[in-house]
Amino acid sequence: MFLDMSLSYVLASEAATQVTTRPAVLTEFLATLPKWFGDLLTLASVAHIMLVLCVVSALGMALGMIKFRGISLGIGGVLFAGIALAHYARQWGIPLLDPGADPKNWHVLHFVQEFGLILFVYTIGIQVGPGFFSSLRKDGLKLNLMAASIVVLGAIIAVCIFKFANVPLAAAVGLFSGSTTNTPSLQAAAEALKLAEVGMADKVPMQQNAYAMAYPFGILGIIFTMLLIRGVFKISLEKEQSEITKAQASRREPLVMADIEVKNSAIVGLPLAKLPELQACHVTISRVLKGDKVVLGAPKVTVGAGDVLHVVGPQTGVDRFRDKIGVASKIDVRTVHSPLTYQKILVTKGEFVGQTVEELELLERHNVTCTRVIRGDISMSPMSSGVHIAYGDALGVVGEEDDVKEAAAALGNSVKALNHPQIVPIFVAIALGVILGSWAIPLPNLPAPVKLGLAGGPLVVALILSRISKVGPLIYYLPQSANLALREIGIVLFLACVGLNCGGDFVKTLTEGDGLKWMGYATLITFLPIAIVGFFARIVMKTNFMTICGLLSGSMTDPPALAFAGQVTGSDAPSVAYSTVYPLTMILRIFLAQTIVLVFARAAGTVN
Amino acid sequence: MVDGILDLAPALLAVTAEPASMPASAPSVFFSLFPPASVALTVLAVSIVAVSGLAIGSIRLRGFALGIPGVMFTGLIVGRLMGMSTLSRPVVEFIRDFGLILFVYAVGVQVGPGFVASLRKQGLRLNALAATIVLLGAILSVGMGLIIPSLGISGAAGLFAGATTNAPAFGSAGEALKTVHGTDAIAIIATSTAPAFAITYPFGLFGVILAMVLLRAIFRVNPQREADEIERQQRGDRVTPATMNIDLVNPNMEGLTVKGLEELHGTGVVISRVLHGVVVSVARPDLMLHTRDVIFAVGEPKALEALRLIAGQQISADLRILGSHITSRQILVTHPQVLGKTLNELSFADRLGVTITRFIRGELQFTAVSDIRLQFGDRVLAVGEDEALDEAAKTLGNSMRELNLPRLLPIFVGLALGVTLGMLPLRVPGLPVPLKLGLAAGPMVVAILLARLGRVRSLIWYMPFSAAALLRELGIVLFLIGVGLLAGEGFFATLWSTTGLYLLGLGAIVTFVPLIAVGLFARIFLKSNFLQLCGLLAGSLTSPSLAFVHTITDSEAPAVAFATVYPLTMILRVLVAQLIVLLFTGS
Repeated sequence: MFLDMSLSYVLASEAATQVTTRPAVLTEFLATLPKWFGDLLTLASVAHIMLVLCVVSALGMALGMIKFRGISLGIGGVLFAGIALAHYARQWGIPLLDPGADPKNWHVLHFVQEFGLILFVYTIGIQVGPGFFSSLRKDGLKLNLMAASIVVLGAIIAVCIFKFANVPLAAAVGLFSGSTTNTPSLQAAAEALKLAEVGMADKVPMQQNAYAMAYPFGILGIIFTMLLIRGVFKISLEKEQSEITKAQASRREPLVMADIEVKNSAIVGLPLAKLPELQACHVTISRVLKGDKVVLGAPKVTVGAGDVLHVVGPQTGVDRFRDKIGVASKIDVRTVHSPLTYQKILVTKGEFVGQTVEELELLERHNVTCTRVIRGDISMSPMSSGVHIAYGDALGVVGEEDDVKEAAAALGNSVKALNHPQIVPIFVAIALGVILGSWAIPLPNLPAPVKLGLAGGPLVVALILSRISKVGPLIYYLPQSANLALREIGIVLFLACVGLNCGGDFVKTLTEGDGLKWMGYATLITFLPIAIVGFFARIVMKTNFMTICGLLSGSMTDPPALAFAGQVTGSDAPSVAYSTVYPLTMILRIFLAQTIVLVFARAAGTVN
Repeated sequence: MVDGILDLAPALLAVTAEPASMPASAPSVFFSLFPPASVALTVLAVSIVAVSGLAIGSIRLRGFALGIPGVMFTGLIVGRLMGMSTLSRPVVEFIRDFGLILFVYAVGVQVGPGFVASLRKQGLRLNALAATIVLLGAILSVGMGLIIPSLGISGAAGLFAGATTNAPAFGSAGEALKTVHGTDAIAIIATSTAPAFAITYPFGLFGVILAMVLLRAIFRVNPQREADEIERQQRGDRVTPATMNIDLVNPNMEGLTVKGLEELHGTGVVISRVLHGVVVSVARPDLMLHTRDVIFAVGEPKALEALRLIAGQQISADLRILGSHITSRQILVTHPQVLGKTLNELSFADRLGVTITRFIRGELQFTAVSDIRLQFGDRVLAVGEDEALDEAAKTLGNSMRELNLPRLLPIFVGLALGVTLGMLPLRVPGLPVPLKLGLAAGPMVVAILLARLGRVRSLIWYMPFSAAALLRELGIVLFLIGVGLLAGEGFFATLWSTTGLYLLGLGAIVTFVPLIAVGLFARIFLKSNFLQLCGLLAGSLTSPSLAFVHTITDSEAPAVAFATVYPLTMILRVLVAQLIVLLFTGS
């Protein structure tokens, strides 16, 4: 039941190595090269594999950067560079990582392909994990339902194409993955093909070819749809942007500062902690001006008439608080000479992760007050409920210089620690993810169990772990730039391998076989679902255009499309919807691609 | 055959005749989930080795932790348990070499920009010391090889590479053996070079640390004091800028321009604001100064003092907090157009009315004298009106996003060049075979050169710190896992033999003696700083034990010394390992 993974490649290779007549020009050219260089180009070795992978990746990324009217292939360029290189290598009889030349190559390439994919999905999971679960609870449910219908519609169309258009099953699932530019589902379906029925394993290259043929329109189709919706509804970008800004602002107001002079005589003599509505307004008092002296806004400081309070909080809260206490003061308490200073302190010690600001007991321990929690570009009030400290958050802290220093030492405040990536959590997550992904989930009436696969497993584990954020001494945080680097290396290596793998047959399938017909079907799988759901969202649900763009890109798990949405809309707003629907879509696509294969494999066996 | 390390691995395995069979007791459920030789099993094995190894490595015994090399030891155990028929050998070999390439490339990129400066200042002395360590080790190994017939020169080469934890040297020795012995080489490597390497390698790691601990005890070193001393030295030649408000009481100042005043006593001071009457304005170079104006100047304290003597007297009022439209802001340099240009060429002051006062590169801050060339990721402190600052920010880029982009294209180009360079045969007169840099030194040399260049057209060779750190650590972990897994089957069998213990002893001498000798010499006669010395020792073995130094101090000094000697040592070790074989075989 469990085939050796490499077997399919060997099978494929035997079918593949036929035409190997090296043109005389090339032979001469190779002869002019120094022997070591010729060997490096043609003989199997680690250096050779590294060189080929690096060249394909570099060429592909360069190819992906070429912009045609604002649209570029992006990372997909690597796929086509791999195809091109493999195609010409086959033509010219250079055994460039060719399976026939050395089966060793294929073991390595297969490993690189899957390891790349694992790195890719792991970093994605780590990044979207923290926001994913909370977004499910809010309006994310609606978005996720729409995204799910896009996926299911695509799957139905793919099945129809297989059933009624006489397209082989392997090609149909390949089209399903490619037309939605979803690489992990490609891998999952390939594994399912190997398990489903004897004789399906050698269909993997066909599936990969279908994938590569469908890929270009997968990118174009979604961009086309965005432009179509924008044109049909005559959407004004500024209006949509201001709408979404308003919606976001109401959700989490930016923090403002204010100086309030105490006028209300009823509160004179009260300690700060007992001031009315302090908690409800989510404001913090950082400094108090008494006469010409500034003191720290500690809870037990009593309020005198004419004192000026320097407060930080959301605008509405600050206004409400001011009405209770007194009037706006002209004095900016911060500029009055005093021993108090303000500093941003990074939380880089694991033991504080997950606590609330209150639990830190900054005042009791270090005699400083915290006025804001800064996460990325967002400032939050420490008083608002549900603010739990994450690794790498910055706390805005006010206090005397020595106290602030002490607090900084206690909280970590080490940029070095923040930038120093933790390796252990990555490997723990990958190990767990591989175990989870290999777990066979038996479904009734299917010939083989469904698996999350090497893509789905690490994704789910990363989502959960980044949500928990801390497990024992392990902190699931990756600095942004490290995350991006790992992610791109992963996907680039993966696509380079897929391209090299299917490149030998690509042109032949396209020109001699059913390639053009397949491309036509692929446009249906790409276009129909997103157009239907996109129009539905706009007409029935009155969804904001920015959100629609994010939804469409996310439901295709397609980063280039998101980048394009950013260009079209001139805003970052689409990325919110994108990351909301991304994880669920990804998992659904992985499962559906396998299920299609497993459900229809037997039928396919008799048809083809 | 082009690749040394790859070819030697089977030889390492062949040390024992023991067949690599799947353990009979292995639960079949496990292998039904993770089929032998499948990617899932390989990834799982690698992850488990990494996790357990790093966990063991983080256990602290009296302040000492094994660190990353822990993965090699768990790799040995897992490799022994699973065997190479269960894991796929070519894949494990690829993991090892891929890790090595990533590691050396990332180190090269990080070290590159500051490398030449450090080389100029301390480089000669540090590198001379490191070279001495290498040569002493080589002399000891060759001596043992000549005296002890059972070891021989092939064994001595393995000893030299293993006792100094240098895998590339092992690889290059293997290649040299192949050119000398032809087809017999595999057998010779398997019976003498590989065991010598594998057995002496572990002590090579401990040896450095032991040498550091010993030196520290002998000289009763206080790490904090050493760190302070280094900091003082560094401050000596590049002082963090100070500021001064100067009232121009000297009547000679009347009618002088800002530029004129700045140039009056040489460079080193930047004037950013001028108070004339009650108005604060940006100090454009052609702005006319008047007696009793107040200027705000940034520069090294000495230079400021000199300016004060000429111009007038220091006052305590601060122009920065006087009400005005002028603010200051840190701006990131990220725009490709401005890279490599000097501040003069950009002429912000004339064009926009923005003066650049300070320059922040990494941890260093210095006065923005106008002949500094901008590098990607630099930060400048700019003074001016808000709109003008916006304009300046636009010109310079100021994009955090740009800064954090991983820029993979240059990495892949660099790796491709590095691999090619590593395979390039270098002919040395008098040697029967050409030398090669190999997969370790090739990518590193390329990375240092490219990082030094900064950019080539639109390719920027800058890697964000955390990305480089991640690749470096991931690389070294993968490399050591590969080494461990591959050696696992042969290692234990050899260790439990008398030859094993005997080799271990010889290795300890080769590791330890050169380190202690040079360490004592440097400390007593050259009065070297202890932290620098630690970096030197780790670097002269191209050893990850550098991490150990960072457990006793926060100072950057060891890493700088490490990086200064690392490239030369690495190249030297690769060459010397070949030379040992080529010069002494048959003698």
